[in-house]
Formats: sequence, C-alpha cells, structure tokens
Amino acid sequence: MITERMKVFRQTTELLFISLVFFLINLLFPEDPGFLKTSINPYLIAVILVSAYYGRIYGYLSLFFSLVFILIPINTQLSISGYIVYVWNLITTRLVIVIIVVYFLGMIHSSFASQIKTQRIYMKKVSLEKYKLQKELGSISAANRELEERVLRQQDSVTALYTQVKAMHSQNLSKTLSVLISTVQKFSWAEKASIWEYERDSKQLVMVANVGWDTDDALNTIESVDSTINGWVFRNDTIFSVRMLLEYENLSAMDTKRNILTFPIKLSSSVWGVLNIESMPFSKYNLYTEKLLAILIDLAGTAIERASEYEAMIEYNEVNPQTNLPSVSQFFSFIENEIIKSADNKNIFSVIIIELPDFNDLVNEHGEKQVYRIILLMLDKLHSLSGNMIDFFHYKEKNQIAIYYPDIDYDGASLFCLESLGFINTYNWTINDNKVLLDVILGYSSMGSDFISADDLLSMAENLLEMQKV
Amino acid sequence: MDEYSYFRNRNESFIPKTPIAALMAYRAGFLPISVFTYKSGSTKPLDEKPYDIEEIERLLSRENLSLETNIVLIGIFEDLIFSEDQEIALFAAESINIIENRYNKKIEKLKLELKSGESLEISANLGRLFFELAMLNKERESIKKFFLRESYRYFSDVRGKKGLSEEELNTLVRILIELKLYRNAAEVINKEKTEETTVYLFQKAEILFAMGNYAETRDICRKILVQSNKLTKKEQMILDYWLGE
Repeated sequence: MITERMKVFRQTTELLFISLVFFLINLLFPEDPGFLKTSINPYLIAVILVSAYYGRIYGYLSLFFSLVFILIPINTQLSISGYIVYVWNLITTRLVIVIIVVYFLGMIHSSFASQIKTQRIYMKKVSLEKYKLQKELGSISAANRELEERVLRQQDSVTALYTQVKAMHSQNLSKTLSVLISTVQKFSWAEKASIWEYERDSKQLVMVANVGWDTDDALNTIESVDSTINGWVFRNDTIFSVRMLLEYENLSAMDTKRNILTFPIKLSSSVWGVLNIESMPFSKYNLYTEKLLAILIDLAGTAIERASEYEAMIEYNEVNPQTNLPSVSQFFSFIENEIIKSADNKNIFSVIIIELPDFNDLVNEHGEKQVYRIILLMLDKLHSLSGNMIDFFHYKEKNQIAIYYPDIDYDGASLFCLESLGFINTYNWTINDNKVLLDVILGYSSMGSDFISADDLLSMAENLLEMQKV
Repeated sequence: MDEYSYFRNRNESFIPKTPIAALMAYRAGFLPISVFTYKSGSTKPLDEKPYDIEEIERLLSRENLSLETNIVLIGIFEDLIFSEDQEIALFAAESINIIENRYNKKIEKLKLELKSGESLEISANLGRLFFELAMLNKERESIKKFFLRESYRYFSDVRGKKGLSEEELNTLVRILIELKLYRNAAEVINKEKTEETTVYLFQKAEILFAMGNYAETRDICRKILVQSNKLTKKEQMILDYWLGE
C-alpha cells in the first residue's frame, strides 16, 4: 500500500516537474507564451506521451499542470484577463484534440496494462508451480536414489536365488555344496551353518561343508542318526525349527544348542543328508526364511544328485593331473550311460567337441602348463555361458575337449556354439601378460527322440570338426 | 502407442544404461516413458554374478552411501579381489580402500572437532562411525572387534554423561550382541529402558534367543503381541512364527 502511494506521488511529481521545465524554457521565449505559436507544442506532446506511458488519469493530470503553467502570464504587454483570453483562443482546438487523444491512448494503455497484469499473475503462478515442482523433483530424486540403492542391495531377491541355483550345477560335489551353503548364508544371514551327508557304510552323518565354524565346532564332524536332531531330521524327512523344542520333549532331550533350523536334503529317491543352521539373527528367524530355504534346498537337490552321480561315476585315477578333467575313456562310458538313460526317460542332450588347431604352436611357445591354464579359463567362461549346465572331458587328442550338455537339442547346441565362438574371439586372452590368439573350431551332435549309438553320435560331431579343417 | 516399440526398434534407439539416463532421454524426447519404467523396475541386485562392474563403479562414485549399501559393496570387492583379471582385482582393492578412507576421513574430522571442544553429539557420531566400520569388517574378526570396542568406548562416554537416545541405545546393544556379551546387553537395556516399548521387547527377545532361552523368547513374543498396537509386517511375521499363528 505504501509502495503504491509512493508511486503515485513520484509520478505526480514527475509530471509537475516536466511541465515546470517547459515553463522555465518558455521564460527564455516570452514572445511565444505557452509555445502556442509553434506548430508542435511541447506541453501537449508531453501530455500525449504521458497518457501513452502512464495512462489516462496521468495524461489528464499532466494536461492540467501544463494548462496551469501555460496560463501563467509571461508576456507583460497584456493584462492578466487579456492574456488568458489570448491563450484560450489559441489553444481551444488543440486542447479538444489532445483531450480526445489522451482518452483513446489511455484506453489503449489500460488494455495493455490489464494484459500485462494478467500475464504477470500467470508468470507468478507458473514460477510458484515451478518452484514447487523443483522441490518435489528433488525429494522424488532422493527417494528414487534410495529405492535404487535398496533394489541394488537386495540380496534375497528371486533373481539372486535363480542365479545361485544356476551356480550350483557343477561336476564337483564340493563346489555345489559350497555354493549351496553360501546361498543359505546369504538368504538367512546365518552366522554358522553346515551340510551333513549320510554315510551308508557307517550309518552316520558326516559334515561335508560348513560356514562360520571355528576350531571347537570342527571337533564334531560325525553324528549319530539316532540321538541327534540332525539325525531326527534325516530319519523323519521333516524340517526342524528351534521353537519345536518348546513342544516336543524328545527333541529337547537331543538338543545340543547347535540347531536353529534343520532341513532334510532330498534327492529323487531318498534323503541324502541334512542342512543345519546353527546360528542366525533373531530377525531372520521366521516363516519366510524357513520357506525360502526349503525352496532353495528343493532346488539344490537336482544339482547335488547330478554332482553325486558324476563323482560316483568318475574314477579319479583316470583324471588328467594338469586339468583335473576326466579322460576320454570316462567320456565314452559316460555317454553310453547317458544314451541308455535317454532311451528310458526320453531325455535329450548334446555333445560338443572343441579343438584348438594351434595347440602345438602355443605349447612350443608358452609351455603345456600355461596353455592348459588358459584352456581351463576358457572352459570356466563357457561353463558360465551355459548357465553352469555343461560337463567337460578330455577327448581323443590333446587339443580336444568334449562337452556334455544336458537337456538341449541340435538347435540349442548350435546356438551355444555360436555364442561360444563369439565370446572366445572377443575375449582378451593372455599368457604372462602377452596377448594370445585363441583359435578354436567346434563340432556338435545331439541325442534327440531317435536312438543313436554313442559311436554315431560322436562321429557326427567329429565330421563337423573335419569339415571345418578343409 | 505400443509401449514395447522401443524393444522392437532398439537398434535405432539410444540405449540408456540407468533409470536416470532413461528419464533424461524421455525428457529430451528420445525415448518413451515406458523405457524409464522398465529400467527402474529391472535393476539387477549388485551382488549377482557375473558382477556388473560399471554399475558397481557408478554406485561407488556416490559419496554418501548407506551402511547397507557399503556392506554389499565390500562383500563384492572382497570376492573380486580374487579375480583372475588383475585389473579387476586391483579395482576391488582400491575400492575397499575408497570406502574405508571415506569413513577414516569422517572420523579424523570428528576427532579434531572433539579435541577443540567436548561434545557428546560428536562422541555419539564417532561411536556410530566406528560401529559401521566394524560392520564393514565382518569377515575380519579381530579388526571388527577392535572397531566395536572403540564404538563401545564412545557410547559409554555418552551414556555416562547424558544418557542415550533410543537410536544410540539400540546401537550400544547391537555392539554388545556383536561382541557376544549377551548378559551385558541385557543389563544395559534393563537399566536404560524408560518403558517397555516394542523395540525394547524385541531387543530383549533377540538377546534371549542368542542365549538359547527359547521358552523365554516365546514369552516375550506373546507379551509384544498383547502390548503393541502397531507392528510392522516384519515384526508381525516373527511373532506369528513364534506363536504358531
């Protein structure tokens, strides 16, 4: 309000000052009072400009000030009344025109002023909205960042479970159990956990993998199946949860404070062993964790069964000491066995043979140990590429490796070979920091719904290899 | 418009790596909003193998990461240290250093401030930072214990001079549980509690559970269920499990 009054006062003073300035200039030309003899009257021009700039009211106010100054007699030859009559006669027409012009200019000014006012209110509103939006955006960005971090650190997600289950597929039972126990630790935050296998000969449970164990724990690696909770779980194929101690006295009698959650590990035909969580945070001891671990152990069953069968079949005196891969004779008996199983269960599988044509040159240049090291690295990458589904064997020649790929047909094997070639050709292979070009050729064949003998199956893969050498 | 058109014509489109990049591309008119939705909803957990090094690097570049995120990152780097790729192993070692240095800098700064004038707020902050460092070193028992003791020292100081806030008390109890000093933890919460809140009762249950007193743990769970009006889903899940509902 104060600002508005000040503005009115300032503008009124300005108008008065303009008229005063013209009056003072006029004093220098007394023969032309009010500049009425000149064709362009500065007083009236100023009035028109003021009305255009400040609006109608200020225009008329400026006209009033101008008239007051014009009517001050500066020519002493005439009397005051004579002077006023003289001035009035000269100014009448121009005054009427100026009054009309001021009216119209004022109207135009009001219209513009109203438009500007509307725009200004709109801009103010937009600017306020923008400020609010910026604030909202800032808080949403912060929330988004927090959510993103939460998702990124989500260790017990279904996708993580899937990745871990895939990682359990291995030819090596110890590796499978190690992945299983680390997955259990990840999902239950277990501080101590162990896996126990039932040994048929001694009829006892033997600890085969653990996490978080200290030296004292390592003193108890064999347990009876009759007098322990682990044994109870194994015999009854039932999950044990520590809260059951409050309900069942027989379990209380067996309790050694080493069981929080214990799960039977069941393979397709029998109970293989148990998984025991010995210590875990209270916040994770709930039904969700129990169910999640039960799912995990069910899913792990297939991987454990496969690794156990594989280990039972492989004779370790026929394993290459440098690569730890089974020999070609093991591969033949394995494939023959799989073909028989496939005929019974209608399972499909594929065989892929990898050959390194430059193997001898590489051995001459870097030595056999280094070349096998790089081959093992390559096989490890291919293992990951297959989702840990494949098994490796040595083949007929030193530069050949055979791959057994279950549950995949000719198309799948072909796609896998293409992906493998793409990967091998783009990976940066090095021996002792020297770049090595790893050239490989691949041959493959599949066991589908029709029976093929092991010889035919392998011949088909070998033929594909030979065709690439031509 | 088909929301999946981006995937069908993705060879011609800009392919954003992060949700933020997708959002910026949407704002600039390069991509439909569905790409941002897809990217936001398809974030892969960091610790899934094979690790996404770029994503890990991107997250690591943020200065003020939460403790939980730092714990996940440290876990990943400790695994990557054994990578056959020496560059990745080196990156992992440097990254662990970066995270620890961030804590060390904060601790040094607070220690200097503490020297210039005693402040219980600074002591509590130092205690919290040492506790976080202990949690980051979970795999290295002796280092973890050292940091837990340091943290305990600062919180004990605060406790002796002005008493602990609820958050500070929680951390102190957690320190004692981590040090397996369950009886001390029980004593602290019994002395410090002003009323039997849900948080207090859950802590008591946790200590009893760790001590192997399962019957008492169940009694506490029953007490929580009777006393508490507001329970989180997680808390309710724990009680349901114990009380067999």
